[in-house]
Amino acid sequence: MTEASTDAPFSGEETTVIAASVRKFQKELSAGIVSLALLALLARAGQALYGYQIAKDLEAFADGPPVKQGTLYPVLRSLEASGLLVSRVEPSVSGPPRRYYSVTDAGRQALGPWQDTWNRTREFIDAVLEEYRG
Amino acid sequence: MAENVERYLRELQTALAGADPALIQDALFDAEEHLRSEMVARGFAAVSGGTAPAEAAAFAAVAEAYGSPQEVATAYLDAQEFKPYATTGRRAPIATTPGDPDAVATAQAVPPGEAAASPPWWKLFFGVVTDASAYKALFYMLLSLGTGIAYFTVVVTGLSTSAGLIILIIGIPFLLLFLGVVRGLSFLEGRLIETLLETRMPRRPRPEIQSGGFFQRILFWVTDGRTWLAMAFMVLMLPLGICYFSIVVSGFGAALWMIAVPFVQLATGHTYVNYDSLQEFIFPVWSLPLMVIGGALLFVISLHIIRLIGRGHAAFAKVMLVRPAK
Repeated sequence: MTEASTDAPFSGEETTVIAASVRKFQKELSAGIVSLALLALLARAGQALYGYQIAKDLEAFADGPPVKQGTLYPVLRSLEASGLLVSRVEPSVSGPPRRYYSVTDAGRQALGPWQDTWNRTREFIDAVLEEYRG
Repeated sequence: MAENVERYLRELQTALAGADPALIQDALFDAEEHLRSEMVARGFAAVSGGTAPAEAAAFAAVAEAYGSPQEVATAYLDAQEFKPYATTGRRAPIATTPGDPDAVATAQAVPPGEAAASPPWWKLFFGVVTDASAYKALFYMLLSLGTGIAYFTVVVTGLSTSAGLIILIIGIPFLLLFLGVVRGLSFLEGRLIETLLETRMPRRPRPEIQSGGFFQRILFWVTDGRTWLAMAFMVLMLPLGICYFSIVVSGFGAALWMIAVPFVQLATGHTYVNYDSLQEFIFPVWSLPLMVIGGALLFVISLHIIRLIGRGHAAFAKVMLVRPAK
């Protein structure tokens, strides 16, 4: 954790509180956006991808997703449970079997409204933050 | 901090203690797939369980990017809340110590709102007619005669042929093939149970042992109690399937007959209840409405029994086919 550097203008206790709040904020924020990122990536890929491939592909965008790779898998699973993705297991040459995910028609159709929601959210947040910039 | 994949998986399992066993199996499958792929991508062997310093350092970085077992466990338990049929209302908390009795107790906590006023008895009794899960259980029970015969045949044939061939060189590959078939069939049966009986079962096949040589793998499968429990389940599916099929056919047969007889008698003057080939029994007119009502009640009662058996069977299958949380 780099936040806890010695020349920070906060006391040790304040730094802990801030770091905890950042983690909490990140966790709450990521719940929906990770689903959107995964759905968009798979809709664009045009082929089935397995979890590790998906995690690697996401890392190529900007600085990578703001969440741990391990938290992507349960999101993939709940997208599958809600019918937006389908998956199949295939054996692999170099290790355990892999689960390949691809997007369903419902998933493709959901992506548009999801994107609209995201755009509205982003514009709103940007506008609010613009107003309060110090 | 875990220094290799096996240790990490054990820590993840501990972090998930008290959660649904099927969810634990899925989480372990995903973690194993990812961590091993990443280690291979970094130039280490997939099956190595080694603790060489270079490998341990590489694994620490891989595990850091994947998330600590506690973080990953939380993510799975959070995602569980979005599953379409929320049978357990509250999610299991993360147990700090394995086998923590409090954690297990909370995992089985009642769904929120359960304590609210229950609907009147007649709604509870007749509501089953519009309950899709009762009809799905009905379909499962009809199917179970076929699957029961198939499972029984596979296990009995496989076991006796393996036992006979084991003294020959071909015996060992045959035994492995048979064990693989048992593993695949119990996964498929789990999928069937989740679809028709609405109980959470593993969505991934059971992870295989990765380290160790050929004979260690055989030893793993042969000494694994889960393999033998799955076989016992498959053998038991024959008598169970026969019972289920008979209950459905006799319950619904009698109910539909009771509903149909008055109409047949009124329309044709015959009931087809024969004493011998010449005489037949004609129901008195006053009893005909009672027959229809009785048939309808029997129909509803049969649906209740079927739904109940479906739940019982799903619980039984879970004990036999899914690895319990350690």
